[in-house]
Amino acid sequence: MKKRTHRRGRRPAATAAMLLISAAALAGCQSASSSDGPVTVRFAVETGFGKTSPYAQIIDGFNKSNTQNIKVELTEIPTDSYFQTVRTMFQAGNAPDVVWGSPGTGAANALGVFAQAGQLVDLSKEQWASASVPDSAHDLYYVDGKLIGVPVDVAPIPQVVNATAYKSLHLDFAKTYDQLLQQCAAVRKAGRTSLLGLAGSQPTNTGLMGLELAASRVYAKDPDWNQKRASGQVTFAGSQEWRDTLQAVVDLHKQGCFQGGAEGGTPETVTPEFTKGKILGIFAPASIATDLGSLAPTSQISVAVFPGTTERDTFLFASPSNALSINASSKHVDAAKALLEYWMQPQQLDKFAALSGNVSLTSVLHGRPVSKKYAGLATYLTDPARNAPLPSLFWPNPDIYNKLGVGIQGLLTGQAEVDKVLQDMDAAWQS
Amino acid sequence: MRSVAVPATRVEVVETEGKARRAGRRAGGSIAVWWWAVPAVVLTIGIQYLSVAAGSVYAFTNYRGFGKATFVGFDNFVKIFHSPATTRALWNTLLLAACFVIFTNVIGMALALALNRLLKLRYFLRVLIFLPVVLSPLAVAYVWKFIFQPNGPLNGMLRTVGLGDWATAWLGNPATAFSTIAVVVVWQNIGLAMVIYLAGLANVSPELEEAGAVDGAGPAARLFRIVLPLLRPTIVIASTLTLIQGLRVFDQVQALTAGGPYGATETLSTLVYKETFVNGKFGYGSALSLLLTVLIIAAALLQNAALRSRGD
Repeated sequence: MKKRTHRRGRRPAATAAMLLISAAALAGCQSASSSDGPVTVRFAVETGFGKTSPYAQIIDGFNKSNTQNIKVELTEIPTDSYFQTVRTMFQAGNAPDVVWGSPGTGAANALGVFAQAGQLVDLSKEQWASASVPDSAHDLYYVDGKLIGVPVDVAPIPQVVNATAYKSLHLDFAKTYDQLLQQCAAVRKAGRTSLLGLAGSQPTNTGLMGLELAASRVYAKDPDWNQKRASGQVTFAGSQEWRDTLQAVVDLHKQGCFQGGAEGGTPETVTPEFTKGKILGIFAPASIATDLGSLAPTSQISVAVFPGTTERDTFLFASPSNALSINASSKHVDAAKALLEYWMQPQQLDKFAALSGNVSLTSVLHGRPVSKKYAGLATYLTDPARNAPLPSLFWPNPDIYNKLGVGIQGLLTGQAEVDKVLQDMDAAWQS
Repeated sequence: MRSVAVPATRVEVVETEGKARRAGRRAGGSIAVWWWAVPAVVLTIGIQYLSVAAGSVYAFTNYRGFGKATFVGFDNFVKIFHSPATTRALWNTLLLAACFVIFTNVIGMALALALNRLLKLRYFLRVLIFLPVVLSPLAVAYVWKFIFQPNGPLNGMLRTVGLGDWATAWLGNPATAFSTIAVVVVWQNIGLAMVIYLAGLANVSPELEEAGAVDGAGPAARLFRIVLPLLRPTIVIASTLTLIQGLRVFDQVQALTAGGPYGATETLSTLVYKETFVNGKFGYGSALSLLLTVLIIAAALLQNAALRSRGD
């Protein structure tokens, strides 16, 4: 009997303890969300390729320096599933406070899609935000008059070249397309694999090449081509400029500018040939040059603009394509804004560009000198008439770019004709 | 000794009561069995079937992953049947499934017959052949992708033995990409078919074959007249399983070619992935998924009906 009484005596004590713990936990939660207590901002970005995220380093700096008791937590989501994961989180109402993505609606990770659904905070009243958007990217960052995010750097899309291999063959970077075609034969004759390396099995790589060819043929001649396409004044299939672009792909292939079996090429097969100097150039974002340089310590890996039909119409795509937006449902919008405001300071932008391998936004916005490794692109980067964001970012959906990449595969294998590829792109635009 | 006469009617009553009690126990027992099954049935229906049914509703909308979904009737299905890309993907799906069913079963059965008895190394060889089945399809596909690269080991070997003219971009060449995928998928699943047929062969009595041999039947006659008829139920199971698997192959195709070049290896599964998760067309993707599901069910039922004999 005594034992039972003892047990009974324990129950109220245990219940009271549970209540106390619950109350303490609730109090803890309350203080965490109160304006005076620490605020945790969740930040999502896609996973970097085996290196420390440049985003993490800016966030570390912010966490150490801010005096508002704000703590930013970085979540890295694998590239393949990034957009799908974030999309699901938005739908479920638990999306991160700050999300990374591409501006516009044309990329697979387009933030414009979230903006159209009213999921992003309008930053147009924040001077630090509106001042950070280059004029050329205005339509990417503004949706229905609302500023949906801020860029963090500028990503040039040139050729990444093995300068040491060029030197060993006594070649200069081609300044016109015709020179480039001549070099293709010269490189083969010298016993190298090819002038250009193409990961033809990946539509993202063939698509990027297509856009680089379109730079001088379409967008240097008519910078407003996308707007005209959106309003229905032009079409891909009806555009001689786009036909010339895709015909250039066929010509490059016929002239042996790509490695053998380019249609089945992958980055894994092209990269070793490139770093060994057997392939002289690849189509890739400039930021990759630093990583490739570390794989080829005896070679100088550099960047060069892909030549236009003439020197004068050579044009560079350089996109403020890494953007940060704030979730409209976030409970910590002010804290998230504080982070982005910190990020938009020139010293942070320069630091971030140095880490990401891209060009600092300050060079494009304020004409500050570009870093030494981009000296060859400086003429284009600092002249607004000779650079623009990647046009596919403005397209209404990612399938158009996919159709371009897949279509170029078809051109390489002989499965498709130029007109058919362009018709497919028009069909994707309408869908 | 005097026997005790028990009235017949009394015996009948007792027997009837006993039967009723046993029947009651049996009925109670079967109800109890059903009660045990209820949680599993509810979970299966709730998690699998209801979620699939709920997902199917999106096939009739233009849902894009978030926001509101607008009902569009059969528009997505009309688009599917008017799209050459989808028609090609449908054809590729059926062709890949057919190749998968035929080659996996024929080779799997041949290996099972070869490794059923007699051979001393049969247990080791069975393990060796079954091993790819337990590997991740994605990992296996990436290994094969390396082998099939334009400058990969396969082409290197061909060049070494003087067959350099045969070297090609196996996965980039539309003439070879599809069959290359088929080779990988079949290779990885032969072991599973072999194990199923080995289990079937375990039920074929050696005495029957010996009797056939005594009666003068040769190896071919014994195979076609005795073994294969007895393996019929196993063939039904193996071919149905491989057909379902063949129709929904995704990992290997996605890893090897992602449907390329220019859609030459696109299947309904890869198309569902692209339309849904890359292009964000969840409604259209759901319609494609629904079509694939219906296709799998119909094909499996048809095949089952065709292969099953009346007595089965």
